Amino acid sequence: MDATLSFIQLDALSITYLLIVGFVGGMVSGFIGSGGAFVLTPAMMSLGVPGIVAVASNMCHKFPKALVGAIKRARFGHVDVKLGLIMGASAEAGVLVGAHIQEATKRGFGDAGSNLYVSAVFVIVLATVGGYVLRDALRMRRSGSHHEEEEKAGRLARFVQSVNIPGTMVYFESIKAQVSFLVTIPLGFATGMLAATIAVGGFIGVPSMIYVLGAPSMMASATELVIAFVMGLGGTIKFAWGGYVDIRLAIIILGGSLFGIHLGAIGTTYIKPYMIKLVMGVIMITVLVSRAFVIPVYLAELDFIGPLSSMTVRLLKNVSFGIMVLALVLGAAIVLRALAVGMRESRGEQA
Amino acid sequence: MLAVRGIDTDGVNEPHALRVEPLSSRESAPVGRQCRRVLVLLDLTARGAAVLQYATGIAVKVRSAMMAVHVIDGQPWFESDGPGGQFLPEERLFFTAHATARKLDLFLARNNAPWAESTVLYGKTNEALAVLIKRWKPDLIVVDAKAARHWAVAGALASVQGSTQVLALERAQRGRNAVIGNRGLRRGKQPDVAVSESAELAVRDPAKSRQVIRTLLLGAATGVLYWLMFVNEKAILDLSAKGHWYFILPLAIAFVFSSVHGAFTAEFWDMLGVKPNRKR
Repeated sequence: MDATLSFIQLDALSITYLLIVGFVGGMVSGFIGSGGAFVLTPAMMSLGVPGIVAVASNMCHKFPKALVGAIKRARFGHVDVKLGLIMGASAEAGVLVGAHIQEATKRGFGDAGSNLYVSAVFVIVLATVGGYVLRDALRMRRSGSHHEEEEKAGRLARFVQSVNIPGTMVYFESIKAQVSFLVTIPLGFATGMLAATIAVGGFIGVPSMIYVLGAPSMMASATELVIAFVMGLGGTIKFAWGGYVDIRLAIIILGGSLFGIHLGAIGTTYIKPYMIKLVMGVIMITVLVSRAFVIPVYLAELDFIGPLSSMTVRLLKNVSFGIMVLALVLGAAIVLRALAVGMRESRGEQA
Repeated sequence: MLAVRGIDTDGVNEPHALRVEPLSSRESAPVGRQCRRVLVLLDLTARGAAVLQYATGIAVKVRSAMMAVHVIDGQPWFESDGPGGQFLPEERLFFTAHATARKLDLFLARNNAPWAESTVLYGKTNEALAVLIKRWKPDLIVVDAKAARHWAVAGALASVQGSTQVLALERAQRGRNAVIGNRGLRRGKQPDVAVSESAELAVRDPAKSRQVIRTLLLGAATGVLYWLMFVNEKAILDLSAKGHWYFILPLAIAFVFSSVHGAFTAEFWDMLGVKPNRKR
């Protein structure tokens, strides 16, 4: 592959742009364990980076970022390494299968079909999981259960913990119970599939750890960073093997996101646990709205509905991207606000 | 041993920023580094006794010498409760100081630290204290947090240099049997006054300047890495575009960046005071 063809020229403006997007994405990642990635790939592509290079470079920035974030959160005692590695290994398999499905869709139905598939996954996953997470966060907020002890495992989690399949039981620190790895494998697999499809596996990984396994949201969001590291490392090797990684792009985004991820991780030490679910839910629902805007475009391309004018197409795409950015900015604003309020309160207590 | 020191201001440096070096716990007293001298600033109240007890604990543990310093808060014109009568204010202060010195020795004996040196400072106490610290070269200074904020003490502590640590103790919650002043001592009661390390002062980082240097160095290292990458941009891109085993290259670059840059960003926020909540 000719390097000069697939790797773009970088100027000061595009570097600054990538740094800022990376910073905001990193902040959200440090807080809820993932996210940010779904806006980075389009952001790079808007600079003229070919899709596959954008995805590869995004992967390559993700694993060091997740590593740094995981180490930081581990210092706060949030990380369950064992759970992260077991889920990560199965997620890796999910990524490979997910990528395969992507390629098959693209071969069978072309770009529009692939895009429609991605958007449909976006909408279905975000609507169900995001809605559930958001509802739960609001319920916790209303009921005033502000302490981690009160964040009890739900009915499903209690059932999962009660299932005993001999020879497959593993004790997990975060859950404080034994769970069969036969349960964690599909969860990790789904996380990987989602990561390969919409770049944010955490939208399944984190809620599944919370609601299916019964892990506290604080631990779930931190453990997701371990999963993201394992997935990112595997994905990077795969793409770098093909020579698709633009390490400059990866490192620039990494530069911004490392500043962000520390802020996000520190932010988690000041907030009540329901805030993680709230931020996650808000981002998921906003992204959902964003994707909903482009679905007509793909439907029209596949001739399911009447053709749209190019004006409308451009408008819908821009609105969609704008809302996606808004989702991230919204998440970042909540994190920053939580951090500022928390630090002020903690200083007030000390004085 | 009894010593009374008055105004002696030779070679005192201009005070600069207050350097406060708290210890995370008594066990972490500077044992690793040689701690040979402990200086404790106290008054003759139950509170002073608590501070003394804390310092004695450290000094006994690390087998260091200890000097107890009592600062008479007053200028020569201050009407203090010394022998009155037909003396000038300066003379009166002098007598007060000597009387206080005897009281201090008694105080030390009563608080199981008769072996400590005792010193009473009066007059321009900030300068006298600064000179004392400079000459005696304590490795650790234990002081009540409130006293540490007093202008005279703060001024002297500001001149602390080198490896000397300052440990500011905060007043702990008052118990039901708490006593005010030394009333309880006079009646022979066990005073219910405890000390804890100053939370407020502990927030100021112990090695702020060291941290700034570390952050700058890491930042510079990160900058160099970026520079190296963009200088060798063409070669790196050509190699990584080859794929196959060259996948090691971007991977290695990412790892190096994450360690150096990650350390830098962590220090960066820490330096700016964005720290995690300690309570969790």
